[in-house]
Amino acid sequence: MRSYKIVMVGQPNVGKSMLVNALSNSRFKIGNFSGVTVDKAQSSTIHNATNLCFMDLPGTYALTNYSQEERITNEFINEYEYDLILNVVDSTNLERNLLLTAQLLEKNRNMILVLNMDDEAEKEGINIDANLLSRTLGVPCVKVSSTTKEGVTQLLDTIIHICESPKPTYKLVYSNTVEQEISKIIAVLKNKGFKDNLDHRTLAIALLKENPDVFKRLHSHPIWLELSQVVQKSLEHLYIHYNTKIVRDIFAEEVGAFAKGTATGVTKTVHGKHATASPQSITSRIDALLIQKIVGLPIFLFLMWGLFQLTFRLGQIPMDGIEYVFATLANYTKDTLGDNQFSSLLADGIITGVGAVIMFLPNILILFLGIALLETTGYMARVAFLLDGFFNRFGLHGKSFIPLVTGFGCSVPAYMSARTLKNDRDRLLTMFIIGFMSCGAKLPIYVLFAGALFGVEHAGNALFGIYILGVVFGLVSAKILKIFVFKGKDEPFVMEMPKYRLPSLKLVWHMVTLKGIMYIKKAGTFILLASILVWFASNYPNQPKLEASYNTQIEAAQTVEEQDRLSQEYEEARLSNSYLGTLGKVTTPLFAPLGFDWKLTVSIFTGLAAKEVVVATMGVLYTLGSDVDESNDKLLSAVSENVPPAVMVSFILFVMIYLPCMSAIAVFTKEAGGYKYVFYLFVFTSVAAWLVSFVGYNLARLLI
Amino acid sequence: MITLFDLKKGDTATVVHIDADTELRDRLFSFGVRSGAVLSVQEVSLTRQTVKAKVGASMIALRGSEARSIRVIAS
Ligand SMILES: Nc1nc2c(ncn2[C@@H]2O[C@H](COP(=O)(O)OP(=O)(O)OP(=O)(O)O)[C@@H](O)[C@H]2O)c(=O)[nH]1
Ligand SMILES: [Mg+2]
Repeated sequence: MRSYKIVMVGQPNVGKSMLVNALSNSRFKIGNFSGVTVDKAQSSTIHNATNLCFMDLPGTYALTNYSQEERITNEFINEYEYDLILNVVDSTNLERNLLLTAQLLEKNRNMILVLNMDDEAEKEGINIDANLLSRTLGVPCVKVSSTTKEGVTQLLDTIIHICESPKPTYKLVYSNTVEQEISKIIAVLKNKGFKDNLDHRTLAIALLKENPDVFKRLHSHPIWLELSQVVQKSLEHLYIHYNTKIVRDIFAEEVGAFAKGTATGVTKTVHGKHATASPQSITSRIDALLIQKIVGLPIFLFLMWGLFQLTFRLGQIPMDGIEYVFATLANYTKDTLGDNQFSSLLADGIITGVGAVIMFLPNILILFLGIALLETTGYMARVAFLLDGFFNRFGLHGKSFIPLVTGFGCSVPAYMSARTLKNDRDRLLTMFIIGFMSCGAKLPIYVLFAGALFGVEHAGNALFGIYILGVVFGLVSAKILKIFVFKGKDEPFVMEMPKYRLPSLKLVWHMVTLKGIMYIKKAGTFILLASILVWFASNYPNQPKLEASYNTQIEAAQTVEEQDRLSQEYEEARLSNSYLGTLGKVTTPLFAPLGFDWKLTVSIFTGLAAKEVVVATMGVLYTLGSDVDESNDKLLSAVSENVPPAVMVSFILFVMIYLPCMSAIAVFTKEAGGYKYVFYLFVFTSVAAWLVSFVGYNLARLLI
Repeated sequence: MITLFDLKKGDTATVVHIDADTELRDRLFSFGVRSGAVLSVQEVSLTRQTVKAKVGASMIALRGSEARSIRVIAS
């Protein structure tokens, strides 16, 4: 079968990923802000017996190498093998998009211009003459809408057609002034019969642009003597005409004029009934409220508060049901299998551990719904606008905001999206504080402890407070790191604010369910395994002596209460002499000043594997330790009974700050580019977590 | 000579010159901010640290320090 490779190139947020999804049924991440895609990704489809392989790339405003994701795109265009460039543009912003197109034309590769967001253009009364544009640029232009999928089949046909046609030579036509100088240089090259792997026009333009490589190459050639004089003269003409000696500016102006001329030439705008209901004007009106200088910030805080209220209150409703199902399952297992090691592994290990994690699924889903809305509506960039001044004071770049918000979901993509920061110092600084933005996996711990500490009434507020506190710690740490470690001047900040867009229900549903499925999968695999390990480590080694001594005591006991007390004491003793108990007790001195008992200490350690394991571990440890009384099955009451309030405070604080999970650390290492940074992260987070918890613990003891 | 920073919410102006290093100039250029472009200020944050402006069909947010490097004449 024939097979073609196609690269998606375009400015950020023009719908490249969504178009690949429409063309090939992939499920790439989509969001309404610049910098959603930060790495190349591939997806293929078969159309008319042809295999089409699409390469989605990060968006780029220009083919410069300022930020890491721009480098990825630029490198790909220049160095990889492919058959076609699909230049995706936003039809409602043609002029600016053509600035990039102009740069792409000079690469002289097979290309199609995709006029995406045609539906939106229509709503704004913008009508682009695609045929005229094709003729002007010499590049086929196709109108599509990735949302409505209109024009998608036609685009697929065109792609195959162009891939099969011989490659044409495109040319970017400059103004008469520049074109005249170009022809003069071409004339010299032609007269002398000069041969090179670049054609004469490309060479002439490179010479006028003072391209150092071409200069160096031609320098040693006999033709240089004559050529250099002509080039010199041409440049002087241009200097006079443009009133500047900076060639870069001259060509920038040329490209700007080209884009403007082309865009105006092919676009017809119909004002009238559309004007007030167009996405553009709706956006302005919404912004008049949402980023208004006085009410903007309170509105944002209110929305966040509402989200955490929902997360707790709405999430609470199915929680009891889920917990009940798992408790029944555990009891049923024990009833049918009898009281033995195997049934204990199933009931006290696996079912309890996995159940403790699944229980928080509703909370997680609500939180991710909030994040999905933030990402897809366009509000994200507004919040960055609102908080930029504030963040700047703490030494953070405005663009840090996006990785930080992503961090509330999961640190792994957050570390990756820090790539959009072009300066390594800013990027590392951001990466160091991403951990302070509590990830979704920490939510169960907070929900549990906030519920235990503040009761259902105030838990939502407490949750909101916990997250805010995390951010405050993050900002303070950023300031400290900026002063002592990542010194340097502020980088410029220019950010595009996208139009507000109502995400389709399908997209949001898909984003949220994907997270839900991932969470359940993790519970069924990783957490399950971890629960088994925790169960083994807390049940072994066998302690026959202890068992025998307690058995005789229990038999000798006079009352039922006495027996109960003794058997519980036995469980406790057995647990604390297990492998896990021993590990816990060895390390407890380190955590004793924070008030942690060995069970909490162990939970902190298992949390290094994944933060969800913390509640799974507590589930196993606290149910094993307690007697089998029905009401004690509840994780919440087990925690309330066993952990004093001040310790809860200190535990929350520790979890908020300490090292992220294994997989996040792996990505951190890769993105930061060295093990030494992991060491710094370890020292930094551990020391900070310990100190903050210590202070928190002692304050809480005074107050409670 | 005034800059974008001196404009108030709702003001419209034409860019005359950009006083910045190549990199920031390139960036601004790719957003459509170049000599002759028309800008209108849509919102200014409370501390005037951040400005939201409309250029052509795009809306951009920039910091006060960047806004100061864009010289304009009010129109
Ligand atoms: N109305 C409309 N919206 C679209 C269309 N295509 C994309 N969008 C929206 O545009 C936004 C950006 O889409 P993405 O596919 O993430 O854009 P991208 O070009 O991949 O962006 P980066 O990865 O950041 O470079 C999303 O909010 C989409 O819903 C379209 O044809 N019509
Ligand atoms: Mg994308």
